[in-house]
Amino acid sequence: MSAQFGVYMAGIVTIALYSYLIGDNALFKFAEHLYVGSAAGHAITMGYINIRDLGWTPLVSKGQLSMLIPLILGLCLYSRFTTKYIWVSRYAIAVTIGIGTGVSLRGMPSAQILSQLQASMVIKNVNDFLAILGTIGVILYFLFIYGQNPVTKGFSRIGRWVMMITFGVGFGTSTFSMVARGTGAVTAILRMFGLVK
Amino acid sequence: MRREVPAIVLAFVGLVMIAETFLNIPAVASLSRDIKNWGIIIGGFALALGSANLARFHAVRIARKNKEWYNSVALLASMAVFALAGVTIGPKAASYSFYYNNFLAPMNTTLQGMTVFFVGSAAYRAFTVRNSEAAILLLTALIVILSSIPLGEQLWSQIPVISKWIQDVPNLSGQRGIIITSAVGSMAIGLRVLLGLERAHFGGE
Amino acid sequence: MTQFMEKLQNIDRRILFVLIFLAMAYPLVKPFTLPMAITQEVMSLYDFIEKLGPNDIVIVAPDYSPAYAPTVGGACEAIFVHLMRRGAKVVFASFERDGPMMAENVIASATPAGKKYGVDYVNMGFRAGGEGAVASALQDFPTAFPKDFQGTPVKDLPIVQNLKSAKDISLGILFSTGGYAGGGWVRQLVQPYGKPFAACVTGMMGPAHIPYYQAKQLIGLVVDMKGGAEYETLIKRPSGSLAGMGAQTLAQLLIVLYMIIANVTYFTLKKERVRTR
Repeated sequence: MSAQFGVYMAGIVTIALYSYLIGDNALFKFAEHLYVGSAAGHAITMGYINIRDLGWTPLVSKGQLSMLIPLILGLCLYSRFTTKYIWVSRYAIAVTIGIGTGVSLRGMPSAQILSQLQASMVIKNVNDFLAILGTIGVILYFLFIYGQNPVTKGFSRIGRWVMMITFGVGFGTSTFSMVARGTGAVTAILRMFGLVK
Repeated sequence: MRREVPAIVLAFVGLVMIAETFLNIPAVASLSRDIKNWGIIIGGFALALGSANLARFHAVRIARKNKEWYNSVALLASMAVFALAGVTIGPKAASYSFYYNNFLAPMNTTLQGMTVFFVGSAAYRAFTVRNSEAAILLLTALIVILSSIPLGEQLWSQIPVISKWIQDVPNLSGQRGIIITSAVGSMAIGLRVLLGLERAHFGGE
Repeated sequence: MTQFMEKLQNIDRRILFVLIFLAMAYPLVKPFTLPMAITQEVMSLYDFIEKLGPNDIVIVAPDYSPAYAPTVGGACEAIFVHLMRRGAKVVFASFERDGPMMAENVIASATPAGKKYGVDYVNMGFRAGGEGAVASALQDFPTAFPKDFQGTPVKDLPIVQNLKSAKDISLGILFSTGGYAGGGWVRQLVQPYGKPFAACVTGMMGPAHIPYYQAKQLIGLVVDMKGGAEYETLIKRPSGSLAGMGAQTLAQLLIVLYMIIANVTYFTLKKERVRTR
């Protein structure tokens, strides 16, 4: 395939999708469906490689019969397409969620609570003290179990202001990310017209 | 039984994961390792499940000749091409890589990249200061935006200094508060899931 | 004045779109560079990698899709080049389905001359399953990745012969655009194994990772295209991220202008409505 053909293909699909900015139209819908189908096909490819390399090959070439368990569980997922046997898929879901819940729960207390609390208790200057006040304010803002006495109300109010600043920072940095992503598509169009390499 | 037994399986798997960290028993570590690998294989099936559901939905649209059913033909055709190519020649092959980089990737980039236009339009129409909290949010955003571009420092030398303070003090405390409280919340939900008190993920009967 | 303000407020949004497009396109066609300060978070990662050598194995997880190549992909290239220059061994292992293709693109565009696949760097492909897959790979790498992306068994890849688990690595670097991201790797790599870890994330996620950096759970944090541009400046290899900063500058200034116009028109018309009541 020539590189130039690739450049034109990239530019054409980009323009087809960009046409949505003028208004919803048939060209955009067609291109969008092409994208969704391609992405789904790529997902099938990646899923297949995982199943083949970790499940099928050890079963067939090394005789690891234990691989029958995840292979059967994985196939059970497809019972979701039936109404009578949908309950069979719950076993695969149970294993998947059990793994995810277990691996995240076991690390959370140390990694995200204790370490963060320890780091926040280091007061070397005024900024560290302000940071502690802000952290306590935000935590109290979210924990509704405390009654509304003047102290908790005051800290909650501090937390609210800190949250506004946090969201402002989040918005500022997210526009940066959006512009960066926008440049990718713009580059494809410019490349098609030979304006950039 | 159709919900209780899967809930017991879930609890067992989760407890094995947690026990591995706190108990120094080789058998538990070995079982945990095996189950995690099974999770990768099941994850592979789950990736294809979404695609299969999509295929089923659009096949019905084609069969019923619904409005714009030709788009569904395009979807299924592109899915079939990528899936067959990936399974037969593999994603490392030159032709798969070519179509991935010049067809799929630009479309992915464009769809994601369109948000900048809509955010720009929203910034023009809707990002107005209607109260003091909105003022703080907008002012912070402006300072952070100006500090993130090289020109910001040229406009006023203190912009990067103020932005650094904002990110290192109030933003740090806000994000830390979110990390701690969301971790507490996640642990509560996780424990409820392990104990079988939450079963929404299993779906209806 | 009121009529002008109303016209300005109700301008056709397609004009706004065209201006944004031009603000991004012009600097890409006519690139210009501006001086850039290096942040401490990027500098600390650079300093850490400067101490690495041929006996160090680094796991690099390119967990991003093509849309995010302009945001974190530039940093991925720059950091890969730096690691190659230091002689460190780079193992690409992805937990996002587009990751292996992104790794291939980085390898194709940034591998220095003289470096050999399978000896100095390798692309192990993708593993499904999210944080569970990360935990699995860090516990028993050869079982989670028995073959590389090309299908070569691990026994035929010299680079991973001594890589059995996270205990054998010197650094983990994640390029992520969402999901469990830095928090997940802190839980699975830093907390259980005590290994150094750095994150390269999008702008949206950057502020959320600052507490991890401040608590020394991250040894470096590279945020979005700007972080990538800083790293390219440090390794003296200008590329996509630095080239894109011009577009960033103009487009961001335009968005700031939009926000200013929005507020000027809003308050002017509000004042006018109060006055005429």
